Amino acid sequence: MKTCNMNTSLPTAINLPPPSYPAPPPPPWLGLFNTPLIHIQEPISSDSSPSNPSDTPDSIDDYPPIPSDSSNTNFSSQKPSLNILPSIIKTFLYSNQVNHKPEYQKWVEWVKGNGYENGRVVYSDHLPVLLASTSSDGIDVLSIPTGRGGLRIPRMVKSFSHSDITHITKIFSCFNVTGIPQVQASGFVHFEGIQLMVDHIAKDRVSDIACNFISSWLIDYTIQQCDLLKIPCEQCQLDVYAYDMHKFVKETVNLPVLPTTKSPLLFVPKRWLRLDPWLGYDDYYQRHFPKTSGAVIAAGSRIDILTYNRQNYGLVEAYVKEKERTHADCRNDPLFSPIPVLSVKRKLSMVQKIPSGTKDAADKKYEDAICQLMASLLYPQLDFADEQSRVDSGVLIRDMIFYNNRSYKFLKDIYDEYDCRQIVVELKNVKEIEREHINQVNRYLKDQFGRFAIIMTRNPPPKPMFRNTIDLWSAQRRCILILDDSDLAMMCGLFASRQRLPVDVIMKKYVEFTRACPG
Amino acid sequence: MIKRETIDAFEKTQAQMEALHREIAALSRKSPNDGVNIFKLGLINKVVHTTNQLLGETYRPFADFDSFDENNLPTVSDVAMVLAQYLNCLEKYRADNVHVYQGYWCWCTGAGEDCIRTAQPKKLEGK
Repeated sequence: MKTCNMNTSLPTAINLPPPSYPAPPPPPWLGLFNTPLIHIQEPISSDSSPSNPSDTPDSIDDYPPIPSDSSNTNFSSQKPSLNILPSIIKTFLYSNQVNHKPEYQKWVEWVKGNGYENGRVVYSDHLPVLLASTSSDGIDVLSIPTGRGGLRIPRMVKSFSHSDITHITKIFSCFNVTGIPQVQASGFVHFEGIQLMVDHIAKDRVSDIACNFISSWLIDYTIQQCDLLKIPCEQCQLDVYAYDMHKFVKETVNLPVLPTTKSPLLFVPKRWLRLDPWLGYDDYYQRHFPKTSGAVIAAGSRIDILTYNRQNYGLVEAYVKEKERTHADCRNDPLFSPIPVLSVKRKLSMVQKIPSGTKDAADKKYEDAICQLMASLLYPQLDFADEQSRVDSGVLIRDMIFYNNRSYKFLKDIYDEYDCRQIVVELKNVKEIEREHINQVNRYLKDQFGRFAIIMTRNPPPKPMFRNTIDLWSAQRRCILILDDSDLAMMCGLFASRQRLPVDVIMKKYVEFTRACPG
Repeated sequence: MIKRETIDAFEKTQAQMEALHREIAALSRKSPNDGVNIFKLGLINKVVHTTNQLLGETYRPFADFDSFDENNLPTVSDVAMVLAQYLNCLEKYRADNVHVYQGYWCWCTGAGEDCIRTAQPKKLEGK
């Protein structure tokens, strides 16, 4: 499943006063399918800051509402920053937890129906539905121009080719012909298991399939969010799965569309996103596939492994059972993983060795290292770091921006004081900060960002330059903090020791700054 | 003259201050520029506050220092240095309020009160 992260752009356009809208009703199969298409930011409570990803609330109600204010919503004036994230729907079925859910029952019946009907296996009869569910015109972000950093998963919209269909049909038929007794008896208890036995179906396809089955709820959710955030919508036609008819039917709904291609977009709660499914081929191969037996010799490629799995279904079954047993660990994994402590120390050491100036692309190296460091150091208090954020014209390029989700008291303070919706960080690999640098950052501080920015540089600013920032505050109530290498080292130290949060260093600089301000 | 309750409070505070200094100094040797977490800082501030009350304006090491500001993110070495100052001032306070009685160092308690023994002032050790 390809996911479009609009977090860095959507909230930008919105004034975020204290919110009040009810959280969307949880879908009956919450926990069954976590399907990311496009996810929108769900701000974390301003008075609680999860210190680690595992603190993520479990239920929808645990999440505070999205703040919204339509007064300053102006999407047309901004170029959305669409970051492609490969995320996966979580289709792990907790049968013991949600058996009472009628939708779940429908889903299970459907899955089982593909494997078992009237005492015999009839995969081929249901295969068209399965294959249809893997294409997702209308709800995919298929027209997002490019992925980033090689995070590509095959396009969700890509339909199976004729040969693929033939191949998959053949494989499904094999279940019938060769007979895996367990599958014949009960079908796929966990639908993800399909990727361990059938080629051309991997986690993205599984995600696509599940996504299509819950598209009805996603549409409702998207419409609700669009109403709240005043996002313009257009009429689109989508395929929605009808549980009663066991087929996809066309529905006309109002959804936001990608400006460039008019492709419909669906929003998905952030907490639904996973990088890897709980039951997955990679996990299976790395941790459960026998490496010592003849299996590994026989299994030279993925196809060999899948064949081996079909012939040794007990192995797959054992894997699934173990995953069932440890399902408590199946929580949403964060989309961003901070770099480890050791890497932070290495990066800091690297930064300290980079000479100031532009010789040998030192400035570029400095920017790259700082971007990685800052994104990790300030996570999760500041999330969704975006590098080289450009305006439409491309004239202004902000080195780094963070979405201010007000998850920390200090962040809430600067939000209240300076309307700081996004924190602009400017990186200057210069020996000494100059007036022009401060003026440049000052120009970046537009309404949608607020009046707070940070300059990262190599050395403490000269007194006149610090005075300059104070004057700026006096005249325009704009706060520009200047952090140097020693502050960065302190942040890294705090990150490693975990005694305080690295974001406290910014708070410390802010306190120093405010004490120097007149009055 | 010094009251018995004050002596009790002093001895408790001095013991706490010494323990805190010992801990923080050990951390400081390892990573002097590290931050002190909020929990530790809260406890340290409590002891510092008690010490300030005990020492009064005369013996306080810094007239304008009341406690550590959490927002200022004091480093371990900062805290260690300040605690060392407080320890010395506590000792100065003690040295000014003890005397030798029948060959033992005792607190200067009021007339008629029992003699409360204490250690020799550190500045006289080795002399």
